Amino acid sequence: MTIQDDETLQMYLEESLEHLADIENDFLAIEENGANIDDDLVNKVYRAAHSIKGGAGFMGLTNIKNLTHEMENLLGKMRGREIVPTPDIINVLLTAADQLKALMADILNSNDIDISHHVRALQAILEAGGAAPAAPAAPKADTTDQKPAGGIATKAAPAKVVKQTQTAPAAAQNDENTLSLAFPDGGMGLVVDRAKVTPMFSQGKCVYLVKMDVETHIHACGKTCRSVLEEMEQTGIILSSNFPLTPAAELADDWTPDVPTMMVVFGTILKPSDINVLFEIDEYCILELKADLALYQIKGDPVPTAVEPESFGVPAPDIQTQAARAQTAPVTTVDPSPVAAPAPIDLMETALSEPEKNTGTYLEETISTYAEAPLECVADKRGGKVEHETTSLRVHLSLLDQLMTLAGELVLSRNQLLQSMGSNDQRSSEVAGQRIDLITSELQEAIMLTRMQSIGNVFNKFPRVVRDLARSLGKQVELSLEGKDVELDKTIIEAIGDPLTHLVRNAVDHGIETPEIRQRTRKNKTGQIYLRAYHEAGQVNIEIADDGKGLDGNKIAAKAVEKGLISDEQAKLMSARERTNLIFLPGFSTAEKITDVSGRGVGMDVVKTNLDQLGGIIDIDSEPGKGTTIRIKLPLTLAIIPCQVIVTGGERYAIPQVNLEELLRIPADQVNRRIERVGDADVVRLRGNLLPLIRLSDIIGVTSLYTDPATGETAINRRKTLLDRRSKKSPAIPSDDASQEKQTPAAAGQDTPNRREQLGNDRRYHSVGALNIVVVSTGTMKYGLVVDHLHDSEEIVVKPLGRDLKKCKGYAGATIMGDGRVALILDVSNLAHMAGLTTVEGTARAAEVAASERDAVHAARDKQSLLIFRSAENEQFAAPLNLVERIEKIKREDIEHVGGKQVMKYRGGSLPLFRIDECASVQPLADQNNLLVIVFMVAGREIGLLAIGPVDAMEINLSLDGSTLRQPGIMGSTIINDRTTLIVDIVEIVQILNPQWFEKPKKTKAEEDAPAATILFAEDSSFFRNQVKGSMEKEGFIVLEAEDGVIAWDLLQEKAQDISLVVTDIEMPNMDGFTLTSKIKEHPAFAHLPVIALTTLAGDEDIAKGKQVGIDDYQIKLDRERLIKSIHEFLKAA
Amino acid sequence: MAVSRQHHSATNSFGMQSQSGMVELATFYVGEALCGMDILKVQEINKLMEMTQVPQAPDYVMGILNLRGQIVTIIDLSKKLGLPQIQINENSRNIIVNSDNEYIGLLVSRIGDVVDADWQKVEPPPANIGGVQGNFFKGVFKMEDRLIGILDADKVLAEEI
Repeated sequence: MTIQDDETLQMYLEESLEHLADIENDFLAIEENGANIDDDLVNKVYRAAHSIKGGAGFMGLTNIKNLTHEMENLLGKMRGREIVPTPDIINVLLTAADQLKALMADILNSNDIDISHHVRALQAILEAGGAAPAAPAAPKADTTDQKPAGGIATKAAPAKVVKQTQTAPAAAQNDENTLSLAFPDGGMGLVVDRAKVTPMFSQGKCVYLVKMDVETHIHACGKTCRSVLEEMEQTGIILSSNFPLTPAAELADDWTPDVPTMMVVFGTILKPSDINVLFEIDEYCILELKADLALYQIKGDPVPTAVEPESFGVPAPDIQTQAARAQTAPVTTVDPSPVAAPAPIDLMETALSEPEKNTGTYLEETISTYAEAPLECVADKRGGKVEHETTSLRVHLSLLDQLMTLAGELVLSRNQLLQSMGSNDQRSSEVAGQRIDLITSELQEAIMLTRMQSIGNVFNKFPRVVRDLARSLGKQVELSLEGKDVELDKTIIEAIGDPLTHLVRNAVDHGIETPEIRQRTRKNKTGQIYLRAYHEAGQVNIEIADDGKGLDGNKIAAKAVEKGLISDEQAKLMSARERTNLIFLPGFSTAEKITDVSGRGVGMDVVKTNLDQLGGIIDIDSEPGKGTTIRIKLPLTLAIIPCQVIVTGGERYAIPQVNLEELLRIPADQVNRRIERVGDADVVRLRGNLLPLIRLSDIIGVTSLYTDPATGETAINRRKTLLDRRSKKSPAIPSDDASQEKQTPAAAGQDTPNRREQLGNDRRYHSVGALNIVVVSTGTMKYGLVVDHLHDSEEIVVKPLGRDLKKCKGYAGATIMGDGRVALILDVSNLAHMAGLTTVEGTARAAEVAASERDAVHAARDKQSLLIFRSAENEQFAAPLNLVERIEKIKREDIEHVGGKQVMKYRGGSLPLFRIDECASVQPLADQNNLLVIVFMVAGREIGLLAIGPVDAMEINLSLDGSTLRQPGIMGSTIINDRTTLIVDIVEIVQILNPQWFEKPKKTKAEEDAPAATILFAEDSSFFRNQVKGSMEKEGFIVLEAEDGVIAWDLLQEKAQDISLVVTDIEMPNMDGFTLTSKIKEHPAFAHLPVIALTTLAGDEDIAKGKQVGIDDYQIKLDRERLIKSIHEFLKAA
Repeated sequence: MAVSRQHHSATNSFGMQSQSGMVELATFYVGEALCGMDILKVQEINKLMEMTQVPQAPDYVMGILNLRGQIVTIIDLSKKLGLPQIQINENSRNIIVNSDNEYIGLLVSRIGDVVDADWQKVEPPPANIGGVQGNFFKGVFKMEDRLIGILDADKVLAEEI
């Protein structure tokens, strides 16, 4: 019972745990094979149990030894085909293995843990010959004559009957209530109550008759009687003795009984092969009383103590030679008083809270309560793991050798370096430096390897988890494991167990349906769960896929809305995938289990948090009815991680590569086009998706630095002053805009329009500088982090931050850079949180943006530059920027009222002024002193439109609603910056207010073009088609519409004779304007036709390209006047 | 605990456990205030000023620096004690102390002498020493010309809630 020194114990533990790790899956395999027993497999488990037992015996770990012994026995029977492994039997074995693990986890106290129920369960199976669960209720102990343990199958009985006939004399002097036991040597005997003995058998215990000479067996061995009794009390019950029995604890240390030889009848769970570990005496001094109430030698189990007539009643002087004989003997009656029963076992049994100490029912109970077991088992294991994790690690010897070699190399290189530094030899310093560089990397790798463990360590427990859970839920589940060899850092392996278990359990519990449901939905009755691990891009990916019922995103979203985690609108805008990922939201499932929502989500946020801590990423993909796939990405190790180094505000920061999706640099001239503001968030257009942007300097509150594009020098203060000046002095930019700017992270592209207005139109399309965006992913969401500069990617060593900085959630730690300075490591998911860009908000916003984007793309794929302004405070208007000549700031008193019209002095002439409310029913011009005059060129004249600020120029995907708000002077409406914006039709306004300006040209044209010319007009946007068509028809032309280039081409061939001119859009589906034009120009029959291209914005490149393919003229879509003029000119020329 | 110690201080058993006898005080200036600290508390004194700023850190955190591979948080003692802000100059030093198994640097204006102080002569701190809360101090040691406030490093570095 003495625990050996620590190291031995540790070694034993490790070895045993290794055995145990395999045992579980082997049991499962045995179960699967059923009656078709795989000898190798059973042998393997048998050997494992055996070596655990052997070690336990050596170490004095009685409990472990006893338990493994029983398992071994059972496995022995299995091997001998005496017992067929049924699921129930395997269950008992598995729980026993769990108990073993628990014992190992708390090895020092293992002997104090009650394992009797496991032992009994095992023995019951053994005795029942495998007919375990059907065991009938055993009789209570008071039925004297009956064979105990009614569970004993008849199969086992005959053999014993034979034995009994031979050994009958051994228990000859029996009467109804007592049993006399004595050693065959004719020495002393004992009388014991049958009522006490029989329950022992039914509890699966063994009863022994033991004699110990106080002098030779106890004192000579350095023990005391007290300690012997104590040990006996701990392992069993003394049923009877030849001395008055007192609980050992009450005895004096030097107590000796008043008899020279102690004799006891001892009931214990120890098997005959182990009993002597306790007593450590000659084997002939111990006899076993079996269930047939005959005495047997403890050695040579099958041979009953021989009863030879000639030796009967003859006491032999030589005890040794007599050992083999059994004999009835005179009985020294000893009061079998109740004092004899020491407490421990009884207590334990009451602790088990079994109504009856009764084997038969007990076994049934074990099995029926088994359903509840897995949970506890898992918990047990977990608890156990914590206690002895990180104590030691097994490393392959070759790896250790490699490490030694490398360490040696390192020392050599260091010497070399020191030497060359001493002699000032730069060349050899360099060489040494390179060597050290090389060796360090190798050393790092090798050391990492020692920490690497295969993920199989985690995976291997899942077959059991799945099996147990499936059994208890009445489901059929098959688990496939793949990639067990994938290696991960030890710390990660340890930490990932729980989240994975959770996910796997969820898959069984909530994912896989019951067989009935599966059959109804025409699925295979057996559900499949795949667990797969693989390497990818320096990370480990783990996939948990099931073919169950999947997750219903709508229900999840509804639940999230109900819980107030997201708003209704947000939910509506989410993609199915985003909805399923809602279950990771903290607070999504706090207390109650939401089985009505296909269940999953119980603690999913916890899973995510755990993985976040590991630097991992989790993502769910689910198809209702088909199944769910959960993907986890993990770094290989936590200690050294590759990072992207970035600079903001002059300080370096590291972003873990795990979170890094890509780096994005938006050149200055594209900033304007690709960055947009949606609501109060900035987004960047990235391959058709919109990515929310946050500016690192804003979240962590540092001043961003930028490099002046003109001078190339880094300007620290400049942006700051720019901001300051604008917010204080600029009359054109009201303060609310500036403050909004400050509150929310604004991308450079966003504030530029405002600034541009001030700086003058020449800088309109130039941004302050290129934007560096680090696209990061937190698993559930992606966003762009705007930083000042991008540096290299580096491998960094993570160092923890001090306690004063624990509250800075934006950092995951710090690292030391090559120059010795410290850089902070950013925690991208917390940054998103700090920026108010929680998963939902971010995605909702992105979805909202994406939705409007889709519509916009649908309506018109090319962009329109608009000037945004107001007439009344809260009505936003826009006009095509191309039509705008200038913007003038005037005072109200500058307006003159002359000849019933409003005019102002302008460049030496009078500029007629119009107000939108003059012709359209909109709110009247704001009554304020500072007004803006937007100067347009209409009908060859300059006119001014009175407006107020703020003005802004914006390039947007114009999706015009040409009907809802259509009225004279207003061509339609669109949404800009979340506001409904009316698009002003300046020509129409002038036409309505000053029709005479248009009369003359109209008349002459109409006369000239008496035979109305037919124009082929290709345009994909119906709004523009109607607009332009309308204005052309107004001019008296016949217009043939085509929705794209292909249709136009067909029309052209069909009605070649009629068509005298082609007007085409550039951006069109199927065939664009360029292709159409080149086709027309290449075709001899049409080459003569003039082609006017319509575009929203005529870039130089486009014009050049257009010229190349033969486009005769470019006109801007909403500038109808010029278009008409151009048409006339071409027609005239033709 | 802290409070009761202060009360006991009247009976001269305040402050530290083994406070009988002599103690060597490392003295330093925070602005103009002369402070001292048990020299055994001091790990080292350096003048590494290459700190990395930590945006959003508490205002008394000057930054973090690399002390031979360990990240050390540097705390501006003047801020922590509520004294006027000190400027970093060539006299500035970091006193690295080990507190709760963590190295923390205290930024001070300059370093003074090591002073032998007799605990018997250390007086309990008044409620307020030159505008600094008394409970940051273990006591006040009187020299001929000056007073040294003996800082309780652990209390100064205790986490703010």
